[in-house]
Amino acid sequence: MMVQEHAGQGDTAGGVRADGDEYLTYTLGAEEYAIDILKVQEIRGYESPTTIANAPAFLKGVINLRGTIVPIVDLRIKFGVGNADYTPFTVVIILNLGSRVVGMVVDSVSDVTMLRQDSIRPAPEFSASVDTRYIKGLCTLDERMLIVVDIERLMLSSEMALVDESLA
Amino acid sequence: MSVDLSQFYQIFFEEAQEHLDSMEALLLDIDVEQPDPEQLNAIFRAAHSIKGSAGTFGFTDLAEVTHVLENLLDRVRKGELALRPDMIDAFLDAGDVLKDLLGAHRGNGSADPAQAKALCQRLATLTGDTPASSPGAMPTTHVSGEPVPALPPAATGWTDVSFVLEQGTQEPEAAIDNLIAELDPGWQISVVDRAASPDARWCLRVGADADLGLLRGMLEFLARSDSIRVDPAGASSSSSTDDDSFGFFDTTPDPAPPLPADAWGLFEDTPAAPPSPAAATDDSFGLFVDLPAPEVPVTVAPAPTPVPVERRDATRADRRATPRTGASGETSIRVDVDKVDQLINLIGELVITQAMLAQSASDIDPVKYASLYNGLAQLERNTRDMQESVMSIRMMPISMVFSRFPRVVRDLAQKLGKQIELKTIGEGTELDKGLIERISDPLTHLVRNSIDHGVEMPDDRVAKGKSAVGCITLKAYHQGGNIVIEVSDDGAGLDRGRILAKAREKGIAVNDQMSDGEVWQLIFEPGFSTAEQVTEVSGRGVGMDVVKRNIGAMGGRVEIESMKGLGTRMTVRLPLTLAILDGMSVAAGKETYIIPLGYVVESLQVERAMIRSIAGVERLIQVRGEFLPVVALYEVFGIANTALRLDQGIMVVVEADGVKAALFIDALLGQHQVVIKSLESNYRKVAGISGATIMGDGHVALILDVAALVQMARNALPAAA
Repeated sequence: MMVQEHAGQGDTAGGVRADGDEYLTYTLGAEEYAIDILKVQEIRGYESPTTIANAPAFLKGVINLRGTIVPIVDLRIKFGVGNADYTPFTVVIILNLGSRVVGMVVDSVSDVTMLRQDSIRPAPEFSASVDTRYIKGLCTLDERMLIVVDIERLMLSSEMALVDESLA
Repeated sequence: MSVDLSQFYQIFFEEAQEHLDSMEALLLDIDVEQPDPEQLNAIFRAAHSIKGSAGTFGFTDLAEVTHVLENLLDRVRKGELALRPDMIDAFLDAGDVLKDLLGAHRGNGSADPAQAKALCQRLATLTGDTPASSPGAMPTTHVSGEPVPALPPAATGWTDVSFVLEQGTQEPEAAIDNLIAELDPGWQISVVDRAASPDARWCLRVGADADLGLLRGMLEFLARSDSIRVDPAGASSSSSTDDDSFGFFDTTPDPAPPLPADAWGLFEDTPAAPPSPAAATDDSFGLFVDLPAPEVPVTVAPAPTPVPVERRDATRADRRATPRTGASGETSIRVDVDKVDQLINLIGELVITQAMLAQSASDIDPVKYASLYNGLAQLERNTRDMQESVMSIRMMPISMVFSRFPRVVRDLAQKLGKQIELKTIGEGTELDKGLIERISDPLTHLVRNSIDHGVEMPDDRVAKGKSAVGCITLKAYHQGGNIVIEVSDDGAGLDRGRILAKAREKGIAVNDQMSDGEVWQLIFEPGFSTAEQVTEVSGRGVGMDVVKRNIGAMGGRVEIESMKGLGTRMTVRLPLTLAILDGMSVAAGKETYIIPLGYVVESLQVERAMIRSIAGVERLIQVRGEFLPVVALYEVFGIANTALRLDQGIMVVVEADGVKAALFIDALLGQHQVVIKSLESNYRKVAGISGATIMGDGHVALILDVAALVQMARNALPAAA
């Protein structure tokens, strides 16, 4: 619901859509990230998933999303930021990446914003919890810095272990 | 506007394939001495339908071969020629040539035009006249046998098309005007003759660039299909050639049976054939033409006892009667398999939702909410019925596969100089369509193997005191949630000594103490063949391992029983469907897992005395004299378990690939039919897990890959020791 409203504001503030793309921003600890909204299928609350044996700790397991088995990753554990606790307010962003559906747990979802392509600056080489390969660039928005992530590349990378090695 | 006929090609291909299959089945079944006129008619109709539709779609080569074939068939069925065995051979070969041509048009494989030509010649010779003197063959014989792509319509001149409107057409004038308006204005279409009465003929004149096939297609909706006549009146010679290539746009009065307007091969009108109930078979979109209807309805639900349908005993007369009863007024539609699968998925969801509702309702007061309870009970019944009927859409009788074997056996036996009779039992046994497609190749392999290696040469058989005619039996029946398919022969049986010798030669670890069952399994090793000489048929040792792998991939297994001198029986066990599984839900720690019921032998609670340890680790249990390795689920899956000692939990004895192991779990929860969901579509393969399912409470439970777990136990054992 909240997302919907913001999306509306984004539209009016940014004018025509050709100006830029819409991004969904979320926080992990103190960092704010932005991902292409077209990759987002829905946002839902956290429900405890069925754990999968011998999977990395950040893979919380799989859930039943209206009949589809969807893996859930906790980015807070993956990147070692924020508190990995699960409350009624914990949010899961369900991503639709081509043929795959993946859920990711984040600290909070904050906004939908319009970002102009030229406002996204290339990220300098720096040591961060997220590999710079998966960062499209950085963007400043009202004193805040957004990290624009290529979520598809990140999620389908071998690092996330969500895809069979042979396919990754 | 130009309608692309190619969008209908797929339908044509499927239909033609079915007609060819039914033709072949009929040919193999026919009694040469006393051919049943009904069967001859059916064969004729099949050939005729292919010809009609091939002509419509411009597959000239197909139309041509079928045309010559049809000529011969027509003379045979009219009793002008007696049916001879060499004709049957020629017909079968014609079927093969047509299949090749069809395959070439579909884009797989290539057809040899010379072969088609030679065959036409052969058929013409059998017909007893040269192609030139056969009036019916004339329009097409001048076209070479090369595959010709769909030809553009006549290049010059104009064509008259006349027809009689369907009985009871409302406002014929308006209908025709609509038709003309719909067709391309560039066609220069005009009405030559307006019908005064409903039964009178209409005549349209169309320009040179009109697509006659399309026009005919449109007219089919308005006019009586047998009344459409195309007359290229002003056509130049070049355009008439093109017209002829359509096969049935005949311009000359034809003494042969009229080549009617079978635009889609669906609307059968063979005036010469006596109207018979069996003709209805052809109208059923060709879907079930080649399937003799099972005489005994076979239950789809897992039956505790095998339900073989003994068809061999049915007398010939009975068999002939079955298609009639089966086809009476039956209609069918072609549906994309994806749509059916989508339906199955949705029903799966519905079943889960229903289970969730039932669970939530279990807490409320049944007296206060009696009507809600009744509603839920009804919902449960309806969903169950619905699930059953939807699943049955995908179910097909195994005769779909069996029907190809008479030909395989006949050809191969002929080639090898063996005499073999094929018996099929339980053709009506149903299984999932997906499995039908995938079981076909492995089964063919097993049958070929039996013919080549199993059944001996007639002389050898007689010397051994057996009948010269070998017998191969194909038998299918349901057993539990499985379908069992047996391929057995009464041949020489497997030679234990030779297999062991061969295995040693190949460097496979064997010993003389191995049980027969283990020895027979060796023939599934890659590159294993004991045939003394490599034949065209088999002996290269490529195959049996593939057979086993393919069947394994379907969740099935192959067992061999053999007795020297008496024969061999290969038993293939497959789950009925790939979508639903009977499973036992078990708990390990807080997790729930599903064990496919097919693997479960028994479950028991062990006593201290049954536990044996190796090197201080409790790794084995002794059950009735058998030592079973223990696979502790909490260990494999790293779960915090509740029962730490082996005698505190439950052991589920499972068997996979002939090897037993005991799965150590905390508790048994229940037995369910679960809908199998893929874990890989959004995630990846997980060791020891074959899939996932959704339980009644909406949670996901993982399905254990028992074969992999048993393998783990096997590998872990030496390490622990």
